[in-house]
Amino acid sequence: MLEIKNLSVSVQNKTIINSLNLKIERGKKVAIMGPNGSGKSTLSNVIAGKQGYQINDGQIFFNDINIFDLDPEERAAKGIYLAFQYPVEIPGIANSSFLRTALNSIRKYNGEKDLNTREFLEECKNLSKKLNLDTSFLSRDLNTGFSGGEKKKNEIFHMLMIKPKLCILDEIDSGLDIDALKVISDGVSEYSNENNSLLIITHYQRLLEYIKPDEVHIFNEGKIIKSGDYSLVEKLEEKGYQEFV
Amino acid sequence: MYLKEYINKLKTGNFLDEKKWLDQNAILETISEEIPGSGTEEWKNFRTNSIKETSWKVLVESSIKQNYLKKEQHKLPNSICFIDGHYSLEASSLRKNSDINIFSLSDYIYKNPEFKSTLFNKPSDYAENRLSGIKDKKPTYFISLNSLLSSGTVIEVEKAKNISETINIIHSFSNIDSEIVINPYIIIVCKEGSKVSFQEISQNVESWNNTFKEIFISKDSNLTFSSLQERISKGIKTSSINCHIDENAKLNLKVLNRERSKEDIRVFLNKENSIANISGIILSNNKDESDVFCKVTHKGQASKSDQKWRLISAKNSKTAINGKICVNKNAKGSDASFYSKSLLLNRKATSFSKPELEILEDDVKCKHGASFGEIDNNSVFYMQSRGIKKKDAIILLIHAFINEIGLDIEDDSELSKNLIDEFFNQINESNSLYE
Ligand SMILES: Nc1ncnc2c1ncn2[C@@H]1O[C@H](COP(=O)(O)OP(=O)(O)O)[C@@H](O)[C@H]1O
Ligand SMILES: [Mg+2]
Repeated sequence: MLEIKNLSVSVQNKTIINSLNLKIERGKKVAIMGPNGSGKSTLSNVIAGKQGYQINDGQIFFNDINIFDLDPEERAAKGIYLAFQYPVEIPGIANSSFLRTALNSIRKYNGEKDLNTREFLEECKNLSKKLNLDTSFLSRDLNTGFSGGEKKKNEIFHMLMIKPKLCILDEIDSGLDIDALKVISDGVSEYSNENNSLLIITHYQRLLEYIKPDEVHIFNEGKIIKSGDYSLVEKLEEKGYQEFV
Repeated sequence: MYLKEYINKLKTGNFLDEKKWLDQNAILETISEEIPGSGTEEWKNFRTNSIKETSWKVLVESSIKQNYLKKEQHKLPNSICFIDGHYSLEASSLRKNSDINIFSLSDYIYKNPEFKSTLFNKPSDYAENRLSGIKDKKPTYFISLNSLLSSGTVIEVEKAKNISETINIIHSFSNIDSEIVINPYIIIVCKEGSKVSFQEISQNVESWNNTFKEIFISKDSNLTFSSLQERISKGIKTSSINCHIDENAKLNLKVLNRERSKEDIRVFLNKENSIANISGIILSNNKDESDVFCKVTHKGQASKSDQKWRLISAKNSKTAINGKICVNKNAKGSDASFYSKSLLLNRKATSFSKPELEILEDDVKCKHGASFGEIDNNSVFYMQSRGIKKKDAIILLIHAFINEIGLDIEDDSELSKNLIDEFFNQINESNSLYE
């Protein structure tokens, strides 16, 4: 599904991602764990297409297409989804109307016709119930005044509505209480199947206890320094990052 | 006839008989002076060169084409129409039994002689107090000119009537001559306990449109007034609104201004519990300016005012809001707020916001603030990452910026929504968003 080849990225002439290679197969759940400042969000942003990074080398293929030729919205329409570490507050746009605009834009790109509004609202209501969100948050302004947990849940809510092929979760677990973490990981696990892939980016092992990843990579200074299966998470738990650096 | 010639004629003694309530000498003195420009505090953000440099003419009644109204421009039901500033019964489509009465100002004064004393009649009543101690009458130039040149139309809302359907006030211009000053003068009287909503639209004027509205909101009445400006491509608009609010009466004033316009708003909260909520959108594009001066004077106890402004400047344009709050001595328990936000779409765009307070009473609550910003790239990327095109994301963000002040443009008024969309199309077409 996703293949990153020899990727090097810098910001203001400082190298952040350093000759990174990573492959995510269809149907797999892949975790990247790394300390703060190791370049995890930079990697997520570069995959999603954010401007302002210098790509010095390498390529990223999504289903065999080089995505550096695509705008962020085109990547989204092709099935790449990024759940933000810090979702942006946008006052003046209702959450549900934003989501409907997004979905219709993706549908238009893929040659499908607009959503049926009633079905859309029905699905919104069902999902918000599942995520333990009050239905009022549909009409509230996008992320505006949402608590930390609500913002993260909203990212998952958007994801479940958009139904992407590749879900990148950038520290979806930071700042969540146990209940919210459980609700979110249940939602993600339920969504995960043999046709989509997950890239779970995190600092802690907590989330990975709920969503058991198939592959785990330890990431530092823009590089993968160790790869393995779930047992690596447990090792990291015991010994901390210092052991691997 | 040329404006200068006309003024000279009046000065030499041929006073207007039907305008006896005006202090004509004082008015002539004010308008004989130079047109205010950057030297006058209230006008410093608006270039008046093009007004100063033109030899303006005034319209002779007979040359007005009463049948001129491009019906296809706005087919608005329930409307009161003005052509070149004059009320046109033929063009209007006010519902029968609408509880609204329309008079010429002189007829109205004949019927209600006491009304004379409340109308604008001399510039010194509206002069600005300068720190130097001088009372500056210059800012009243445009109302003075209008009140002298225009015959005036009174729209009266009957006592205790609650009118549910919005009434449209439409200004059309024949544009037969680009060097004519046109002076729509409208007086709105909301009688006790009435409730009504007006939406005023000025269609494209290609000369100088100098509008003056005087609004009287009597005890226990409630007026919603939306003043919407279409894009002005060639002409220029100077506009003044004076609102007088009585006990327990409420004004909701909504303003949408475009480039090449200067608006001067004065709101007087005269009695106990007088309320004014003002929300305004100021848009400007190209090399033009859109400037508003808004002064709210609290005279009554527990009177409340709230101003919310959103300014958007594209290209090399400038938007400006000068908001002045005056709380008189003894206006105890008054509550006033002013908040403006400016959005700059290009490097060369500018915006100016100045809240100004003149508080003579201790027992008041007063809040004010102004902020300036550009389109936030993080927000744009967030929206793109959800599948929304960059251009659409920017437009959505601008809409959101405006929506925040709750002009209810989504469902309330199709017209204001169209006017805003038209502005967006214009800035979008020229790709000025990305420069
Ligand atoms: N736009 C930027 N400008 C300057 N430095 C940046 C920018 N984005 C990221 N960095 C730097 O890159 C490094 C990695 O940041 P980030 O990708 O956010 O790490 P992580 O998500 O792993 O905590 C940090 O040292 C950060 O300061
Ligand atoms: Mg991060």
